[in-house]
Amino acid sequence: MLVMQSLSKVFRTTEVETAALNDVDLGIAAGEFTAIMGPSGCGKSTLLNIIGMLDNPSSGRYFFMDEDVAKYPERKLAQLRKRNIGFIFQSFNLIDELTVFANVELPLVYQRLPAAERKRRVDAVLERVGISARRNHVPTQLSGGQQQRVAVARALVVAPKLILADEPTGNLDTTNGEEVMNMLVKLNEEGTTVIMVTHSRSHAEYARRIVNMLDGRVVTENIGQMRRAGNA
Amino acid sequence: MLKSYLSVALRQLATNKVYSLINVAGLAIGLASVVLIALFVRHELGYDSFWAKADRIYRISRDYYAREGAPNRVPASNNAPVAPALVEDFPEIETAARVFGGFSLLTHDDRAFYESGFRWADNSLFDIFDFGWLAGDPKRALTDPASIVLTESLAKKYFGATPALGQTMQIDSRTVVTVTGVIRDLPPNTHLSFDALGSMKALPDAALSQWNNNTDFHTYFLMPAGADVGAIEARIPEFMSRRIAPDASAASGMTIMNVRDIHMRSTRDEEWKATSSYASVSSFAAVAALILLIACINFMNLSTARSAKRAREVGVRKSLGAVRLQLIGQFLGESIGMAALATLAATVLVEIALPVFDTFLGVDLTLEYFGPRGFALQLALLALAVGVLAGSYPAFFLSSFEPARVLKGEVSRGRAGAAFRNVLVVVQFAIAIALLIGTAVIYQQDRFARSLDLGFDRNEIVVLESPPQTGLRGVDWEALRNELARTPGIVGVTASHYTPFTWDDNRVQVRHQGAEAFSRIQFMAVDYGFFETYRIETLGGRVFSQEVAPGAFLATPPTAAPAVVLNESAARMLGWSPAEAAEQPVDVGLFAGWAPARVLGVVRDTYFESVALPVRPMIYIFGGDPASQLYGFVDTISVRVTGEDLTATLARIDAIWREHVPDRPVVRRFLDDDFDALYRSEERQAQLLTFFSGLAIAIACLGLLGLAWFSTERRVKEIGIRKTLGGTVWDVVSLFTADFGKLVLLANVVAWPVAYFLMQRWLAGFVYRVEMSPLAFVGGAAVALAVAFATVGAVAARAAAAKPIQSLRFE
Repeated sequence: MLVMQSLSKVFRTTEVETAALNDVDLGIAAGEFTAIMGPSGCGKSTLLNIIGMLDNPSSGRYFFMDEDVAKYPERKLAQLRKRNIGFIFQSFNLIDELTVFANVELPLVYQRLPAAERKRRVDAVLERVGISARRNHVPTQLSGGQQQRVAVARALVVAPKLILADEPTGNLDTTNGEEVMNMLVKLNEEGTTVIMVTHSRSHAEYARRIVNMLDGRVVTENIGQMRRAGNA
Repeated sequence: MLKSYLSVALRQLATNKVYSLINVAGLAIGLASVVLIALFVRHELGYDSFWAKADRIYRISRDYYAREGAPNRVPASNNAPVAPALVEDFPEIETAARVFGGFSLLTHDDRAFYESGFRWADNSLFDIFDFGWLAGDPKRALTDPASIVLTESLAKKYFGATPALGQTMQIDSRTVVTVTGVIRDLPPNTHLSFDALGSMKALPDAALSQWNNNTDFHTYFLMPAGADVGAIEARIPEFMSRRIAPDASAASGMTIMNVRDIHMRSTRDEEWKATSSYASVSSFAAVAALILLIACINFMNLSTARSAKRAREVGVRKSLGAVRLQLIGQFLGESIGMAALATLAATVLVEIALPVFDTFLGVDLTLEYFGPRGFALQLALLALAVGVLAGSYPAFFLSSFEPARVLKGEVSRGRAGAAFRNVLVVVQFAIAIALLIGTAVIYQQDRFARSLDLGFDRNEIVVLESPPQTGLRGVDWEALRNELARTPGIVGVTASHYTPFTWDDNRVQVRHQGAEAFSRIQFMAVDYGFFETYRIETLGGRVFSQEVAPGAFLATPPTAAPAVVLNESAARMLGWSPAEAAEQPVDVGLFAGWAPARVLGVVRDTYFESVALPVRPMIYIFGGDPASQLYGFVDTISVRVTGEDLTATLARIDAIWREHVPDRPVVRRFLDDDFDALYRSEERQAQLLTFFSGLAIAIACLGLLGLAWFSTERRVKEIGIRKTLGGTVWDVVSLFTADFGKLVLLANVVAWPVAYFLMQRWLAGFVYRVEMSPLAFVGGAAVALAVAFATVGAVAARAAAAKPIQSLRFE
């Protein structure tokens, strides 16, 4: 599904140059559940941002569904992104002024779908993540776990081919974290490719493949245990 | 502590350059407007207050009460004998003086010019007004009939660097006079207007002894210190009965006004300069205050919007023991400092703008900082007042934060006070939109007035002024007229008493022949070809022509009943339709006694004055016969040109003039220029209002810029999320412009009724006025929305163009 060849990313300021990614070669097949692990500053979030086309690499090639998108302008990346990728962030990144319904509906608004179709899909996905009863609440009225479920719903509503989750359980307690992981697993079983960045070894074990990074490079890969909730 | 406050304030300025610039710029523009208008208001209110005896100098003018269908007439001037009569009859009056006249030919060697600033005056004028004497003795300067006093500029015009004192000049090519005095040019802020004064003693006694009809003498008198002029006012009816006629005060009166009140309070006719009014000056001051209010609103809005950034500082200071009053003092100090900075910037703006402002308003304003007319103290107080006014709300708002909440980060990021800020934005834009609508309506009225069918054709008319005092008597008018009429490029030649738009208030009594009741009607003496040259339509009967022999009015020996022509309104006043009026016999009371006449015809009503006034009934009397007493009245020549090859035509006119009137310079102008001058006041008002509307919108948009900038900063994460989810730059721009657009739309709901009410009142002052077009309102709204969208859109687009990861990483 996606292939990265000799991918590098350098951040430059007036004083210093930081190589966040260094010659990364990585391929991920459709339907995989991949976890990316590593210490703080190893470049995993940077890698995720490039995979999600939120950022461009400094050099190298990145094929997303056979298109070399490394040098695409933001406008083209936005088109690809909104049709194919759902994002789940550690800090949820919901819009406080919008209700749960409106937050989840937002990607469909940007796809210019008619209101009736939007309502149908939002209702379905809210039901799916079990947050329907809170549709008219604003994020500040929800717990962390509930907010992350809304974020998951928002990621799902576009029926993405790829879900990118950056520390999705980082701000959640154990129970809620397990719930979110199970949702990701279920999505993967239904055919969605999932790539997750995590610090948590136990959550990484939910994945089939674990990529370990250090100092901007992929150093090792493991096969995950494909854990499930209640299955320690 | 103060040092800490100061360093925090300076650091705030430096680290928040955009907001600091917006705040200082907005306040500076508002303050500069206030200073400019304050200078202008001081100038207007200070007219004639600089004379040493200003509190004791009075002008006495004649009032003619309305009757027989004619409105009251209130010239600024009075009869010639009033000044000496006052001194004789009122022992408490120290002295009195007259100033008369307004157009003469002055000649020295080869320099000859018609001077509209030449007047005749009593020497006692110099006992009343303390002119700045550069040469000569004010005690004797005009005691000799053959004397003349010049202003400095006029002396330079005729004599160059040579001292003018003792030199000779000619007045109207007849009277030789000696320069007996040179005075400084009159300052702009006086109602007096002259460049040269001849001695009143040079005028014939007959001219100085007429009471009832001749009111061209501006008359002044000087009271002793502390005297009550009310005692003089009370005895005026008795004075008139004694001097004019026993029942004189039934039909007329006199009004006394202190010289300092003339410019602001006088609404009299024939003032030398356009007067002002407290209403007009107040409206200027109100506009300035509104602009400053908008600027202060900006300050309040931006300060409170960014309050979350100062919240932590407030929390820390309070937790360390600061009380609310200290914090209020700190924030007020910062805003006063910002206002002081803005005031400095404002003085620079004022210095740059003053020359343009002066030229536009025809004044000579200077911003002095020190001395008796200095503004330094007022500027400092203004900075203080603005700093306190603009900074008070933010200071109270910021100092109210509770330390426990803000240190836990519980202050919602910039949402606090949002409703009040929105109200302030609505107020700002309501003011700006109302000003825009007002401007549009004034322009509409101006265009309407200029496009109104005046009843005659004002285009392509060249006016030639004939020699004053002699008129056409010194010229072979028939030969001149005929040669002009034959000239290529000229299609009409005539002469008249005066021309449209240069009003000369002269009325005669007109009645059905033999009847008792009469009407007072404005009259104009005209020559052949007047109605044809001006293309005035005949509605009944005929007009003067050489085939009809209109007769000579008040001729010696008398002719048979001479012909007169009425306009529609005059015919109606006499009870006739245009068809009925022809050949009706009338009596005309002019000079002394009644003279029989017959109505030759009726012409269309014409607007010879501003459309602010109703059209007047008019009677045209034929003055083109040299035997008529009116022949001397017909001294202004009008020439209709084709407009093709105008330069050549004007050159031909000049050449013909020089041939027929070799000893007088040609003085010509276009009638259109007189028309423009009529509406100059409205045009100037419109231009000023346009300028200030533009300023108001600019400042309101500066505020909007700041708020939009802050809003995009505050919502940078949201922008990143929206873009991550597929939103385009346009989606983000639409979001922000919609938010602010609603406020601007709401501002229209407030502005429209206010503007409508105010402009209805203004339009009520015009007899012929435009209906307010909805376009003015829609246009004002459209401009405000467009500017607001452009401002907010630009800021939002800038924020939206960034990659989403930058804002998400920011989080």
